[in-house]
Amino acid sequence: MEPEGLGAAGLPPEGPADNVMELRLPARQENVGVVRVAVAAFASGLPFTLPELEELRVAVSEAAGNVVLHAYGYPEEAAGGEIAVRARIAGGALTVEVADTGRGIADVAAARRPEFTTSSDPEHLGLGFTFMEQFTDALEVESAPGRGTRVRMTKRPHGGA
Amino acid sequence: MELECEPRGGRLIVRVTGDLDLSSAATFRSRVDGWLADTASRDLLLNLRHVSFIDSVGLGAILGRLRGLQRTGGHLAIVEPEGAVKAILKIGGIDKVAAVYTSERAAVAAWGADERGA
Repeated sequence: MEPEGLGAAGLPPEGPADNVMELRLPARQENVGVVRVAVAAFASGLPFTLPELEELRVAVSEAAGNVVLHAYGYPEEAAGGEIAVRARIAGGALTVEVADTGRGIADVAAARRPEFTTSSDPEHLGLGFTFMEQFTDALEVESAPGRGTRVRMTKRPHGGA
Repeated sequence: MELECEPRGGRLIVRVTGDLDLSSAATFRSRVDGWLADTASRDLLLNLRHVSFIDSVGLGAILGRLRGLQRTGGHLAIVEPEGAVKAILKIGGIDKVAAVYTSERAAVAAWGADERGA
């Protein structure tokens, strides 16, 4: 079965000038830090400012963190799911896709609303998608219940001279 | 993430170093709550000067401690992190709910001023 995640059909092929990084990691808490460090290092191929890189680190962490917290059920180690990441630099912009083959989101529009959360934990703020949206130039979320979720974020350098 | 705690005059100073995020928030919660209980501290000063990264889960853990303090009439003060992490906290609205200082010295001085005023 072709996973819903990255590597599935439907992604446009890379052009010759594109720089692409792909990662697949078990959906575990400690790997969220690995994903953000790797994507931030990859992103330094574009002239992002330090605050922009910080925003990117947060946005990527929220996306990967959502996979760990929500995609496969908790504790995530028992489920054996993966976080799939593809980062691409093309046309002066960075695109980061974070995908899983987990349970999916029934109502994406509701999930994207600030402070929406499925958690009963009062310390879960429901700000993950809000941060992703705020800290990138574009956010797309595709999800199919039972098949997985793919988040695509695009960020361009705006800051430096 | 590393945590260091210093009780001072019925109050608690906790210094956080490193990443306050999904993977460290649970440790942060339980250790800070434990210290608050063990020292019977009513007020908490969180020194985030050396926090290198914070996400929405880390922010939630800070706000969770704030709610706990508020229930017992205590206060939260924060020493803000350096550089880009500071902006993330601001966007998260932390400066609207806690007293934010640029240094631990300034935060402790404000405590002293409170006491003199009381």
